[in-house]
Amino acid sequence: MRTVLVAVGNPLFRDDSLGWFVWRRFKERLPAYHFLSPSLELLERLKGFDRAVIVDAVDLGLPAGRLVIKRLAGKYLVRSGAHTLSVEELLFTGYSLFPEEMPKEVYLFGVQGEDFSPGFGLTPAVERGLEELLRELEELLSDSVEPKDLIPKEKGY
Amino acid sequence: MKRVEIEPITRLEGHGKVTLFFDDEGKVEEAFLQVVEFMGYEKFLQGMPMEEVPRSASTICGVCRATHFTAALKAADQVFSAEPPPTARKLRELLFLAHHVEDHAEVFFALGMPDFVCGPTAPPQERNLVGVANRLGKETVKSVLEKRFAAARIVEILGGKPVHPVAAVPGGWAKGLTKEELEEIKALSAELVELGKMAVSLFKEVVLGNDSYRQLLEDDYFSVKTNYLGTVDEEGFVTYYDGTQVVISPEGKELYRFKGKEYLNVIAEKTLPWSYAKFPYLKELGWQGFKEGEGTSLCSVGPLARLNVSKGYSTPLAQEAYLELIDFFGGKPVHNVFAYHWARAIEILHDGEKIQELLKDPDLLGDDLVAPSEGVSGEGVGIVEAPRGTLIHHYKTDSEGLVTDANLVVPTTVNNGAIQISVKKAAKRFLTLDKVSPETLNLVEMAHRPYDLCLACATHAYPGVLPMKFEIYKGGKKLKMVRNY
Repeated sequence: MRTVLVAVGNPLFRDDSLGWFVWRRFKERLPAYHFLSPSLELLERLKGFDRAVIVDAVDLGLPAGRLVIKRLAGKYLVRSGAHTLSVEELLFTGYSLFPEEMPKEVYLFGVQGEDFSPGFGLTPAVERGLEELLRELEELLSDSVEPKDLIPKEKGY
Repeated sequence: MKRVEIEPITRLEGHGKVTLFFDDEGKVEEAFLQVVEFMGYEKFLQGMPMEEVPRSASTICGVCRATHFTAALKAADQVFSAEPPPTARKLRELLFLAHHVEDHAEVFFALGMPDFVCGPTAPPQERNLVGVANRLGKETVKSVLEKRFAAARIVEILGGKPVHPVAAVPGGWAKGLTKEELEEIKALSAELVELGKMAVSLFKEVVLGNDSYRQLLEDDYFSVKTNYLGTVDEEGFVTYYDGTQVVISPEGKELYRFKGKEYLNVIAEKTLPWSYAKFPYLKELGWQGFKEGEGTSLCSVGPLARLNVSKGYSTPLAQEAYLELIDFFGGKPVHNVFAYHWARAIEILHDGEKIQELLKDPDLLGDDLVAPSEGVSGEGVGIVEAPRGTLIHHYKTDSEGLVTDANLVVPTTVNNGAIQISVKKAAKRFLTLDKVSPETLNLVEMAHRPYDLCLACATHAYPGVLPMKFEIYKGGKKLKMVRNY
């Protein structure tokens, strides 16, 4: 299964750098792109792949370092509105315009951040979350295990 | 007095808040666009080796990835007393032009045009690129995305890495161009010219071809009369990478010309307690608040400002489109905010043509990429025309080249005063308290969207205290207000 990794985050803002660390880990192994924030370019980078993995620090009010994995379904994406071009809106745009060229599977891998202020490196809790994320991602890439939906339902994400 | 807030404002980079104050009769009394996001780069960059600054400054904003990068790089050249060789300079300029296309195209097609193609009062969930595709056809929008990606690919080839360029070296450029890459860029550049033609045609068909939209272009409520600042080349045409900065008055009279550090004689910055973004103004005229017209000290920057301060574009198709715009408005300066969208479309065309012109230069394949440093000067000012307008990076360093002071004057802050006027006028034109709805509020948002706000870029200041205000209401009455400023 051809997989593309899209990592989002600012390497200079503590826990927001999560995606950047993951990108560095995988960039030699598979097509991988690092974005500070998403733009229309994201859609062209996803075209032609079977599976996309989007990695970003999240802020869902969960305990710091909590791993979040979500398989993004087409139905979910239709919820998008006219806000800034978020990953959600971009994916919605891609599936609306050229569904046949978009990945059949899109996963969000996130870790709840604790500190998004300027500075280098992850907080210890997010560092631990990163290790768990990398293990889960390795499993996904081996195509041996389908990751569970770890998002608490009450968050409604 | 009653208050309505639009938060978050939609389809711009970063976070902001529009606050509207209504009088007892339900009419708009005041309106403000507040910047509520905070980043702090001017402080953060201090202590950093100057050679690292371009890449770090590029992270100020994911959208403006090549603009802060280029301005900081030009400043680094001066700090290390290293003038880039012609090949390096032209590769930088080529990358910067390609970045202009990708940025302008995203703003024009995905953020600006949905208001017109789908309608200003269309539901927000339909007022986006998919809504545009539903009206103009999927193939049209797919073609826009593919052509825009040609610009992103050029940035990747020249910048040494997808998405965010990494080839910055003080006094040069780290990555040369191969013949194969040059041929690929030549092929891609044709797509950019076509994209520019599509943008200009779309504006003419959708906006000029619609009587109510034409009225918006002539409506005084969408006219903001300020001074204008932009950069011109030796012949007076618009240029982005390097040139002379020109300021004209609302009446079109040239007020100042400056280069580099001379900006300090022309521009001063005002801070106001309710916004993280600063308010630059013309120093000699003094801060006069949000006043437009004769004597105002506010300045506007961006595509329309560039068009106003220059004699147009040095490339044939863009110049033809420029003359058409001037003819429509009956002369310059043009003050209508929606003309920013038109000017942006013309600039996409110009950028594609300019890239094609530059690609004919044999210097591009040269291998002299880096000039040696002649010592640390301790100061550098890099000024470029970002897609959103004139961008200034000013650094001071110690004798080792470590940053001791940083000042960034960014387009969204320069436009900050004009944006306040634009939002207030639109609110007065369209809103009363009994007509507040997502649809009418979008008419107010349309008044700031042409400025292509980038609040991530605008909030690099580090005041040391986060200005916060809390208002407590009960039963519709304000009981208490607490603030820390």
